[in-house]
Amino acid sequence: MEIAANTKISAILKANPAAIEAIASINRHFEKLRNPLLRKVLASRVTVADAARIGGCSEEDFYRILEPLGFCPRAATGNTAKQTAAVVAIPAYLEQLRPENLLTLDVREDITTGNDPFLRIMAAVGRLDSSNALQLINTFEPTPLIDILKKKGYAAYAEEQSPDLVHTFFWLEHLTEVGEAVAEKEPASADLKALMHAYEGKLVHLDVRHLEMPQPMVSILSHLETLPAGAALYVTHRQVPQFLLPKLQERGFAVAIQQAEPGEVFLLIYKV
Amino acid sequence: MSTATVSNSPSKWVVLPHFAFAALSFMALSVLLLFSTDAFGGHYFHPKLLTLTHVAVLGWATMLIFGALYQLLPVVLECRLYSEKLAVYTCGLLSSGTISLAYSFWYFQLGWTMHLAACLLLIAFLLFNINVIQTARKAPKWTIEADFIVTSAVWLLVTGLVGVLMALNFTYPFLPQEHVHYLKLHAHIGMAGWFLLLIIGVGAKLIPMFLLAHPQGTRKLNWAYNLINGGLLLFIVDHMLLHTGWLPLYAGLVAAGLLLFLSYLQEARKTMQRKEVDLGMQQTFVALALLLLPLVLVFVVSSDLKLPQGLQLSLYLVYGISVFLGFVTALILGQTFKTLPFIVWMHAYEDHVGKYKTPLPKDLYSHTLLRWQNISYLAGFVMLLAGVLLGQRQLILAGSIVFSIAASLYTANVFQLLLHRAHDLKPFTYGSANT
Repeated sequence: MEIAANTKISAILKANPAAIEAIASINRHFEKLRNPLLRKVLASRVTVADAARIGGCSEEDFYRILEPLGFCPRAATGNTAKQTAAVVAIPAYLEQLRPENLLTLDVREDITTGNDPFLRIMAAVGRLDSSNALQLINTFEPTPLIDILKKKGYAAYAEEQSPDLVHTFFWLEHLTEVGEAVAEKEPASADLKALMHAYEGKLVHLDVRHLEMPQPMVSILSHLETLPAGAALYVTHRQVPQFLLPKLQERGFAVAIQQAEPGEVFLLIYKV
Repeated sequence: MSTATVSNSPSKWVVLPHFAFAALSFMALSVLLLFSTDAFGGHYFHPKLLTLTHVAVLGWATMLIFGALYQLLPVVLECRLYSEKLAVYTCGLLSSGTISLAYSFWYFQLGWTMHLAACLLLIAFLLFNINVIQTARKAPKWTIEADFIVTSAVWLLVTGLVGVLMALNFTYPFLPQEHVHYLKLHAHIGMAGWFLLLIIGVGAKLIPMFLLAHPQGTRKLNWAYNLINGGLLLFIVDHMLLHTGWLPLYAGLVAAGLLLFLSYLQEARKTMQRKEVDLGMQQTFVALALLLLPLVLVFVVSSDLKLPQGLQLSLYLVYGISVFLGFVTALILGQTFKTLPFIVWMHAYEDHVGKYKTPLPKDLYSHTLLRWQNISYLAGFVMLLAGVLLGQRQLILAGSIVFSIAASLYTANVFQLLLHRAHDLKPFTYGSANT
């Protein structure tokens, strides 16, 4: 299999599961891959280039270790690992932020014990408004998370304190019209797929297309009241339910939305 | 994950007063109708008829449309209303403007009361335009429905402007032609520009939604938009400048646009997933059927058919009545009971859904009253039209009485909805669920 900087780690692992051990041997950053749950949530969101940056090594390290397993690197693109070096100035927004407006979330323990901190992080992000920021403390630069949140209109800034300690800051990019529109209307299909994956086997399906307003809302909210812990509700709807979204947020649920075609929208609703 | 922190839906204190005022106007309209049976025998430029028309189009139809739009715009355009404050101001300006205008026409006082009324209304329309256009600018995606709604608001402003000029012209004559000439312009911009475009814009979204249908594509709507606006613009240019005899052609363009809209709905209806059609939708279909009458009459009144003077005048009246008391009123009577119960329900129960047993919107009003309202409306309307056409004052009176019954039933039902309070909610028991 040909690999390159933009190849997903999950694709490599799928092609040859022996790659798990090989990558994990590069350095101890990648030992997380041995944990099946973390593997599932991280590997599908990270490319070789991302991984090299997270692990503080070069893409060549990957090619070198993977070549014996039958992977051949495509012609080098000149992308080197340290290219996006962290010599970015602290954004003005963070500098003027008062300490009491900084929410802090430490997920290092989750990472070491193998719990996926994704939902905890999303819950914390949900508390962000235009006056505060989230400081995420973990052991690596959370590239996939930064990408996901960027699409939702959040800005990010990562600061490497030490090789094992990275502070990443997220805040709501000032509500420019574009930012707001993106935040609300982003189809989030990648998000939805990733979440479907994360909730595999724990999804409750509900089709409300044949119901008249407001029964879709009644039906969805009733199902959420009885949703088993750790499960998510997967809804087929006729339209993006404008009145339901704020209700979900009030009740502590998050939703990923994918507009399939006119008259068909998929919603994945989960507890944050 | 959505970043919407508050609902797109505006406060009920913005929306519901419109419905209350509209219902009272409809009541007032039917009472005024009882005292105007003498006016239907003559020219349409009769103070009582002008009063009736303006109570119907402003206090009843426009007021209700404003209220409904403030609630529906966020649904149609998928964004928040630009300003609730402006919405409250327009409600105050429109209601006070309507009352003073009705007073001025009824007693035919053409002085400062009428000027004041005209200015209040024009400012209301201007603020309404600002609110609609600014809301539309925030919409994440532009749709043909948005085109219809925004354009209709602009035509409302133009209608109001012509109205103000005519009001001033009563006291300080400055317009070059006779008054009735501008009245035709004023009326047609109002009918085709404001009501028709708006009804198509909102109806194209709501009617398929209520039928649970998926119309495919918006090509017909695009053409309807171009034809109606094109026909209206040509009519204005011709009526003001050219004075050719081609008015039926422009009427034809508008009529073709309207037929395309009906065909769009027909297509939607074929894909509907609902089994039964409720009373509100039945009345909506009645309204659409009632459109046929003005559709035919518009050709009669726009062509020079050399009919006897008396018949010509009563046809004009029947034309106006069939638009405002027919199509527009019938549509509102039906659609009120599709939209208002939902609005009231949202405000009363949205926080309780899933946690308590809540009634549904259709449980909040009386279906018996609604059925009798629809029946008495249709009977009253037919009697009134027949009375006007045949010049029978007794028949007009009888029609007005039956019409008043419909208005009373409507008002009673609407106020029952408006005064609804959530009470005695019983929590669900979920058995083994971990809540």
